[in-house]
Amino acid sequence: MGSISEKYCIIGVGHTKFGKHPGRTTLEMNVEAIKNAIEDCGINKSEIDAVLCKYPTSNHSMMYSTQVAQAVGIVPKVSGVIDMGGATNINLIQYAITSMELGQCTTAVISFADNPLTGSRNAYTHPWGNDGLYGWFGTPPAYGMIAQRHMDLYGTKSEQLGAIAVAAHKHASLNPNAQSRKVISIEDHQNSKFIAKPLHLYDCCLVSDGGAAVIVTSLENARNLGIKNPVTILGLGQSHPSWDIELREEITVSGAKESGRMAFEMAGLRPQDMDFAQIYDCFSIVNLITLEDYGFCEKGEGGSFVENGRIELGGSLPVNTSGGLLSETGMPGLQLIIEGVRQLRGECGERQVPNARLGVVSNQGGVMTTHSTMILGR
Amino acid sequence: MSLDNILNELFPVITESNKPFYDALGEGRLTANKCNECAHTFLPPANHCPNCLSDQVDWTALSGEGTVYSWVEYHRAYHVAFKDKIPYVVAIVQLKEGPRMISNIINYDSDFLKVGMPIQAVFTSGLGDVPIVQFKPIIGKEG
Repeated sequence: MGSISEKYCIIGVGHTKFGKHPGRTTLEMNVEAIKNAIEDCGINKSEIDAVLCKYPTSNHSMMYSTQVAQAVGIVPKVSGVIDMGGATNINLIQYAITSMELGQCTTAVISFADNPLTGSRNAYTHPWGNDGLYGWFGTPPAYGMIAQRHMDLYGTKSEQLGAIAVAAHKHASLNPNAQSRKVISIEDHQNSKFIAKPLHLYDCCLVSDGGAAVIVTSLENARNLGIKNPVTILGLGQSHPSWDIELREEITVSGAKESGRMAFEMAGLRPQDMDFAQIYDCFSIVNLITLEDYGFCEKGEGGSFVENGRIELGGSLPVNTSGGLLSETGMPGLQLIIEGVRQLRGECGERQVPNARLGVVSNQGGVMTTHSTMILGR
Repeated sequence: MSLDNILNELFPVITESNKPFYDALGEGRLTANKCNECAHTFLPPANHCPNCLSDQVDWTALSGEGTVYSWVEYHRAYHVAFKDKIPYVVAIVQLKEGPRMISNIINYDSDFLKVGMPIQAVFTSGLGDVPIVQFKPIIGKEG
């Protein structure tokens, strides 16, 4: 089998409004997102023969992708649910491509929806492992543990994490789809309350209801379908550190290191070739560590890398041009892929990166527990 | 919901392989598994060595000495039982003999708490009077 770099592409993207969806089920939001993705590329629904989903984190439901397929009236040849948290979306794209290489399907929809804002957030508040008596709960404190070590080892400052939040909010202010369009300053970041010291409120992503979907097929099939603006998948990677963070060799290095290496190698490209990066930013520290692990800067230099507008629109590496999880939507990851696609199609209006031709998208889940990478181009 | 039910989800789930660890804590001893075949010393307890997969796993006494691998200070309670305890510190403890574990740092001054700071085990009682092991800074050895 030859390289699959430049053989497959994303042809359609769609999503619901990001924010509150009281009274709507996750299935209904999946349907809306898929409908919008189908309309985006203008294909007939009957072209889709694979339905792949991430199950809703707040409400685990068995064989969920068969429920979604049923709700959109598709009897898929290939279907499945992968559970790798926020890394799942890119992993599902990889599964779609693998199935296409096997000749088992031609066009796949990948979708996700959840409603932790108006529904239940219980999934995020259980004690970790057997350590409930030590008060070891919650996702923000676990990322706080990672941020604190990065600060102590490398002198990373809270204000530098603040620069990441400031950039995200600035970009979201230019994005009509964003759930939070409020511009913030470093002072706002510093004055926001501690959630789990060293992490402030503005270091933490939004909580959002919503759904998103993308449609993947081969470039050859895209041409046959008359698609004008396919966005090509150039590289894919994944890597998954341990479940318990205390069992990792070094918690300030994430799966991004190996995942990024795989994806850049497959694409035959380097980080400095990228016109933008859409980096999974459930917490500001993740953005910083992922940029280091992808090789945009050395380990420990992420703090100074993100300062002085470098990651803002107009800087040398615009990061999270839609606002990311910090300010567009807290939904886990599919929207970062959608923003990458839109940038490469040149559809981003005020937040468009001029002449964007290449970009990297990261997805990750848990507490840097899982990671996947995709490099896109046109 | 009764207090017992509220606390229930905090208690460790006791299994055949981890019971000796929690029994030892009740006696004021910190222990870890040690593999008889490859000598790997590890936590959390397991009946197969995660390094060589041998089932010849024994117990070894730990000194209770370690350093702070990292730490976080809670400013929000994720459970009603911790409402009166914030702010409190959860740390990853790097034990001298190799394993790491999750615990609390007590008697700390957050201005001086640092990665690498030497700490020592203190055997205490957690919620519901369940024995736990917490850690305190070793005075005079901070560096």
